[in-house]
Amino acid sequence: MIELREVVAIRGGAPVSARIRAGEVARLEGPPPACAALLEVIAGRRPPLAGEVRRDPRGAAVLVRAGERLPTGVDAGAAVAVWAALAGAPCGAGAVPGDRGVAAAARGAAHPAPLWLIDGALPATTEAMIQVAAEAARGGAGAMLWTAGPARGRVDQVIALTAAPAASPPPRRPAPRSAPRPTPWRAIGRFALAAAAAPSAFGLAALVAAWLAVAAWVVAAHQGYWTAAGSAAALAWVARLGAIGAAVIAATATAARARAAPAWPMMLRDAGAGPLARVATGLAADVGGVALTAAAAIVPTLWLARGPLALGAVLGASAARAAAVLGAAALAGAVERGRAPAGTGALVGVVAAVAIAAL
Amino acid sequence: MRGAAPAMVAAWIALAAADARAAVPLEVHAARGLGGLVPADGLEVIAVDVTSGGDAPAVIAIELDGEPAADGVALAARGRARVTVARRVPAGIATLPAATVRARAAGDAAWTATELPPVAVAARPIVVVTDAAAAVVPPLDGWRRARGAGAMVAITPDAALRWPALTAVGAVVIDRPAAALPAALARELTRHLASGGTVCRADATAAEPRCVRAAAIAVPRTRQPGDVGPPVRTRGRLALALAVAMMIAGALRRRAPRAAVLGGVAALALTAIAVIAIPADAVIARGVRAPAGGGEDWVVAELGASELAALPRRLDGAVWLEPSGAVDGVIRLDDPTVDWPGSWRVRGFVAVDAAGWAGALRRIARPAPELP
Repeated sequence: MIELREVVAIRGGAPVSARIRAGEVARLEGPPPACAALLEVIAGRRPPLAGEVRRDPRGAAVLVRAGERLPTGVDAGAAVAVWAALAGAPCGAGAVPGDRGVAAAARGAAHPAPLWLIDGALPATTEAMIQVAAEAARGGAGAMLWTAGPARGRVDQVIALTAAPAASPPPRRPAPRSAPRPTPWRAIGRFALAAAAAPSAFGLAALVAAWLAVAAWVVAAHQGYWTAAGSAAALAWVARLGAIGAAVIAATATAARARAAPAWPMMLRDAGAGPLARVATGLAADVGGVALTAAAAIVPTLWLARGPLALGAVLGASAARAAAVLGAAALAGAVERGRAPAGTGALVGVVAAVAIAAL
Repeated sequence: MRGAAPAMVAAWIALAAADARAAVPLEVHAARGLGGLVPADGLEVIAVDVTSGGDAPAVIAIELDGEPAADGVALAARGRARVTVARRVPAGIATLPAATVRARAAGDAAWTATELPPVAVAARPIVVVTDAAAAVVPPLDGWRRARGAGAMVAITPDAALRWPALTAVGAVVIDRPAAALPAALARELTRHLASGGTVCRADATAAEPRCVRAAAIAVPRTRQPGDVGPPVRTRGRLALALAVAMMIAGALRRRAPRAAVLGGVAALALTAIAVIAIPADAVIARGVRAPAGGGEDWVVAELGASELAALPRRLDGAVWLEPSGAVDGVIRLDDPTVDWPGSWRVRGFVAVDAAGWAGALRRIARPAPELP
């Protein structure tokens, strides 16, 4: 599966030689910087300082770094499926929700024989997926190499590393440019659908619907103040307030999600996916996660069809407000993932969406 | 080229003939006032009769002095339609000038018009309903002057009388018992009595007519704006139901994912279209109703129609409807329709058991008046 010949991954490190076959699970022991550097070399993210790495051309290296976690608010199975698809594995596993989905996705990623490279301790959801992948690897579907961390069961061999104490951790680098890989649109679409149908999406939609109810009651109570008594502008106010509230909720929730899983974009990058695929995956999570919210937000705009607005104008306003909610979420997620200060993503998304929805 | 000119002339003649065939021949008659006068501060009631000479049904429009008075009046082939409209009598005027009533069928360019002669305006006139005006009217002249009535006019019992035409008259005098009057006239006079008018009975044995008048009731006079609060709050309840449905779907998402997704999407769609089932009766009424006899109630109300109301909306009953605060314009007496949102003034009669907008009016336990 992979063979290391006198490989030096980090300055001051000792050369290491080893061979990991398909169906094997190996553990890497040594200073964490040296282990991380060697895993990056094996994954092809950086060249070795010395020595040679021979890889099975059929295998795709999936590097999982310490602390990396799957995106929140989306079923882990769907996230693993798109992750594996971006790493080059076929996306036949699909997005099955729940633990069963994690297993299915992990097995899907195990074809054709991925080499799982696990660096350090992982959050619970990711760890669960890794455990399933390790079982699959022991069954012959790929191989796995992990560093010292939580107990993950039997290992077939232990690779020990030694390095100078002053060795510094390798800088994190993006994946080297490789031959362009087709963007797995189907997997990304399934990921968006999984995000749209996640329990958290229903929760957000319920929150927006409750906000609509509050807006309706407040507007009805202020008839004659905000609007002329008997005027259908009251319904327009409900629609406008509903869209603004939905945009605020969507932007805040998306920014909070992006904040909760800051390493998810890096995981996508480590999978070797191109920028288009990574942006599309991020948008799929953000926009899909608030699709139900946007649908709930345009309900009051559709109600305007009973008022003075023509059907075409109602449909146009509905599309604009749905775009405002979705755009707020996309903007908030993008800004937050861009390492903006806390809350900036939500703020930017909210301001943009309010401006659009208030039109 | 030589044969083109005759062909064009023939075509023009054919087109003209086609136009002539399409036009519906109408005959228009109209009458106004009470025996040649109208009461000051009252209503000028104009009855328009339109007779069709066409062989096909038609829809006609009627104008009064160039102002639309009735539109969409159905007229059967060689049939007849009667439309009653009214206008407020301008204050401080002694004579209403001549008026023009015209009608035409939909699609026709030409109008058929009739001229109404000028009519005098009298302050609180006395209207005497009698067959023997020469014997009944002169003895009442002293009584009229004592009441300060401006004029006295006699009409026959078989005259087509509408209660709005009696608005602002000083009194209506009858020369026989109510049971001896034609039923239609008795009903209109009872309505006049219930609306606050005075009806007197002239008796040869008495020096003065014996008059009756219903107890006065306070009626609303301020505008009633429409109210969109109820339908908006109903939409708020729908949104709350959607929130509950979404929470349930979210809770069931892990156990029954497909059913949860279908349920959530269905709840969204139902909430969006359930507004169709929300009653569009966003018309509110403020006013009073009092027994008027004959199975009717006299109603005085201000009606507020919101922009969410299903308009136009025709009101049941014999009511007189006009925008609140209006001092001019044509009132369609036989087709009281709320055409646009706003505040409307309603005067008239509805069935005792009338519900809807009339059901919201405050009922006053005033004894039903009876003709003398």
